[in-house]
Amino acid sequence: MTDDLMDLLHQRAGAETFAQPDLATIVAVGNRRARRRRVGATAGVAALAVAVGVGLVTLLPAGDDDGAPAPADPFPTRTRAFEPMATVGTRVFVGERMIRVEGWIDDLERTRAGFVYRTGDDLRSYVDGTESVVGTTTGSFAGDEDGYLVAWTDVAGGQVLVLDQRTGDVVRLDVPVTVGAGAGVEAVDGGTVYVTGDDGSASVDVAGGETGDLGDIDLLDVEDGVLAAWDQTGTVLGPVEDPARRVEVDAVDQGTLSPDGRWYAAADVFESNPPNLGVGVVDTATGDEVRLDVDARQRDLVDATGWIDADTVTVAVVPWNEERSGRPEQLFSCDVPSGACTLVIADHGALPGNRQTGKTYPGGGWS
Amino acid sequence: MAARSGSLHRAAYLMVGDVGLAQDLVQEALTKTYVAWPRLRDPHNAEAYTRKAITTTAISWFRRKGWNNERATERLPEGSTGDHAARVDQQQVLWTALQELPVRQRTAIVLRYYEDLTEAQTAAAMDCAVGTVKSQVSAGIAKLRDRLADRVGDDAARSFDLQTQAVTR
Repeated sequence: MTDDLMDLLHQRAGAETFAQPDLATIVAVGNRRARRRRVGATAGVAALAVAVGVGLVTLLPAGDDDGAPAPADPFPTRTRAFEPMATVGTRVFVGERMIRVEGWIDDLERTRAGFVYRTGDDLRSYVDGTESVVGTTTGSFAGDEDGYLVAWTDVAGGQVLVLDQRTGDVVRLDVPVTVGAGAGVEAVDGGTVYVTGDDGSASVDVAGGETGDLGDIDLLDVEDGVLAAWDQTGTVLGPVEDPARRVEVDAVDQGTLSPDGRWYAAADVFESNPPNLGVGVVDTATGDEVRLDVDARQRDLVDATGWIDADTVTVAVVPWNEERSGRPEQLFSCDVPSGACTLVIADHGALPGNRQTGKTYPGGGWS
Repeated sequence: MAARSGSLHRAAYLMVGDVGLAQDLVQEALTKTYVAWPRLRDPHNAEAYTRKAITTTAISWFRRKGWNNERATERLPEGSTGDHAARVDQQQVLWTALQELPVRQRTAIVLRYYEDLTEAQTAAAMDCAVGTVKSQVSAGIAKLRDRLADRVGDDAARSFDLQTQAVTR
């Protein structure tokens, strides 16, 4: 262990004195935020009603026996139907299959054509059993799981690059934000790349080059025209094009949007017996939240890792002190909105040589 | 939670390197926890929630406010004689170098070396991949070693215990 570094951290931390938190301000600001969140959620629903006119009924469940035809789904189901996926070192597990790649996988993003993974600073594209280096990045990168594009920030060059995995072509994007050390591509959705730069966030249409200013927010995810982001007050969810319809939610964690943008899954804390961390799924139109029924114990770490389809999210559970507990890390598949979960991958920790290696779950969260 | 504020402040201080900022950070994290309080009754969960809020908020602040990690730090030592003085100087250099790291590298190092979290726990706290934690810690340690070598010389840097191979868990 790096004893000197540890000693330094403990000495420095212990040498300072700190004022007690201002509880009165915490309560006052907290109450104000809670009120604003409730108002925001209501206003969001009202704005949506105005926007869709009589179509508001389409937000309600179809009647059982009223004789009326089922209303059109306001959130058309996307075509995504992935198998649960995880990586260990140089191996990619997709359902029952295993793919071995040439580099050590630090991060991975998949598309309809294959996947791109980061090994060190190199980005390698894998399509039909063939892989190649397509670029380098020290920032974040993102892929479109419903398309073929993968984009990343080339911080050294101060630019954003986009790969089309169908053709292998890489093009440079002109972005209206500064691509510095803090910049990252946070999402690719429907042919549009979403970037959080050093001075705000923006969208860029890859084909046409049109840009959009998203203001002073930190993007977390974008799916089907719906964004998740941190703004000045917390996590907000809602349409990219209409900030007034966004709702503010409690989640402090970075989560993942469903492919149709209807749901946002993120770790949260829930009252239960015993209370523990869980994964909540928030309706991005209303802010209403349901908890997923994953088998996690008190103090376990849990997180939403990605979406298999529009109604199925995967959740990883890391036992508190995995080594001592003897319990393995597990990946669950959960149905939304029922919240029912089933175990799909367990005991990755028992895979040969894995104990000290990284594990990734493509698609969000620990992507 | 107020009784645990000292622990929260210390971790926050190591992440931002400034007492005032650390207090602001903890205040913000506690406010987020208060807003979520109707669903928080267990102290362990409240603290976990607050610690996660500190981590994500610190990263967000650094990105949103465009801080470049080159904030004013204490004056570098001129050089000293004697083992103890040299040791103190090296610690000062190490502290300065730590504060100059990118926020994600610094946060990963604090969570791993001060909070003693595992890589998986650190990844969960930072909302990133385990591999990213490994690369952030590795890059951060390498930069610390380089900057120590630049400022106090290779021999002194080597005398510091900055071995990366022992940190993987």
